[in-house]
Amino acid sequence: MRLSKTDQPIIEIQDVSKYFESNQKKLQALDQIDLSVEAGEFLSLIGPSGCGKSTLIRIMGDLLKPSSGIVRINGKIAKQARLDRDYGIVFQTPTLFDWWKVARNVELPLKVMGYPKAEWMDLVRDKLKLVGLQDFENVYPWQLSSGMQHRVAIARALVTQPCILFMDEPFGALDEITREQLNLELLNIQYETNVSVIFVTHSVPEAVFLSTRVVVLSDRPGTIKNIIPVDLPHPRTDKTRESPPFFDLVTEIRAVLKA
Amino acid sequence: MFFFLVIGLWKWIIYRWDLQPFILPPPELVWERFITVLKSGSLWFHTVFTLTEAFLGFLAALIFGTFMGYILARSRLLEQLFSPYIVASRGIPVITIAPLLAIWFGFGLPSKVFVSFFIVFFPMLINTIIGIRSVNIGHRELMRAYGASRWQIFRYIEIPSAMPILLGGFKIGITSSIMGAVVGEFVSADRGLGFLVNQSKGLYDTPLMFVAIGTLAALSFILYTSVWGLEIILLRGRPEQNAEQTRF
Repeated sequence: MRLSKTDQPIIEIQDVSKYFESNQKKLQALDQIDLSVEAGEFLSLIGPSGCGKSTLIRIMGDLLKPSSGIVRINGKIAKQARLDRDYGIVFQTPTLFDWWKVARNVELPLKVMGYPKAEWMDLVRDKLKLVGLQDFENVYPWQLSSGMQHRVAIARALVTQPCILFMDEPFGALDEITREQLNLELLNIQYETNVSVIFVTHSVPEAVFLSTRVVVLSDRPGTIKNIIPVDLPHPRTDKTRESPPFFDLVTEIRAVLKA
Repeated sequence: MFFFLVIGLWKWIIYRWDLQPFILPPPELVWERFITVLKSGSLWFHTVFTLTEAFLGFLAALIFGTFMGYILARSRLLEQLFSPYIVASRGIPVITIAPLLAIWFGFGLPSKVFVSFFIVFFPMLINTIIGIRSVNIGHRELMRAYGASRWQIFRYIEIPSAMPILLGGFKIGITSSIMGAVVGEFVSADRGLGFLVNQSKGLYDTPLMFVAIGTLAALSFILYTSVWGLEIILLRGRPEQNAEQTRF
């Protein structure tokens, strides 16, 4: 994976707005979003419920079309990037397939994308190892804890070695302990793979802990209120969560959210 | 255990009300009759005929029901267009259209296959629609993110997601198919287990009637159990299978 700061932005969003129409009512979800993401960044989107964070990430992934504006990924239009499988995606629920064992769940993207079968097992094992589940390839997902299920979902999203990882509130439904554990693991995964992460969350501390930049969105229609750089030192550990600069950033972002 | 209880009760009823064999034949007489028709090959002959009708009807309903169900599940427009007719046709008692089918398709095999088809088609159609609609939205989104083709979505997501509900439809359908064949035979036939029941009624051969009805029950049981076995194989490893396996 290439990673040089002089490259063009990995994601470029220009003037993106989105309307939903239902029962002749026009609902604006996003209003003139401009954003660009550098390769290797960990960017969090945070904002009140219903502000269009998930909509924005879906527009980036070409799972929704913007009503106006342009999204470029690696210099390509979003649809092309999706078809080129430039990104992996993790949803709020692990969305695993109950009828397949863990290894087959993780290999699904390879199968869909027509990778040579001979490479599947190595890639799958490699990613399961990355998320610490190397001993669970022959277990059914429903036999795993929810934290482990989320790890499987991350392994699946990374199995094709994409340069971008979209995460839509991936740990929102988890308990605090599991969530902090997965946060740490996610950062380690990012250090190891250099993947660029776009991360939607409701939690200010989570956003601060993980990100290089935090994008704060306003209430509907979502606009960018502020973008706050997080210059906490790397690698981040449990100690980071207790450092004064961490708290200062949390306070600052809370203030922006409420403003 | 239960079996002996039923036999005992059966004998006691005959004894208590002093019933004639043509009203309620004793079990041993039914057994005797069973052995004779089994040996003469006539039971086998009729069974094969009914089974063929039921199977063809089931197969046709399976193919058309799942095919149409899939199309209706994927297209709101077609569903809105067709569903009133499908629902209305469901309200027609099969026994009233069986004579019509006999007129149209003759007195041989096809008319019974059609009656059977008519009964089985509906559960197949409905269960396919519900099954395909039960596909998790997240799974669909995921497949879209991977740029999966229509065929891949169908094969990897839609079929496995719909499978438990489809199999529920199979279970209802397979026993209904026998019912349909017998209804068809009741209207017009010169062979089949339904015909056998009708014929024994005319001859007051009540033991034979018992044999025919018992064979139908056994047939239903065997077919249902085979689908159940298929279900166990196809749904192996799923959470719902982890629970104790039950027949229903």
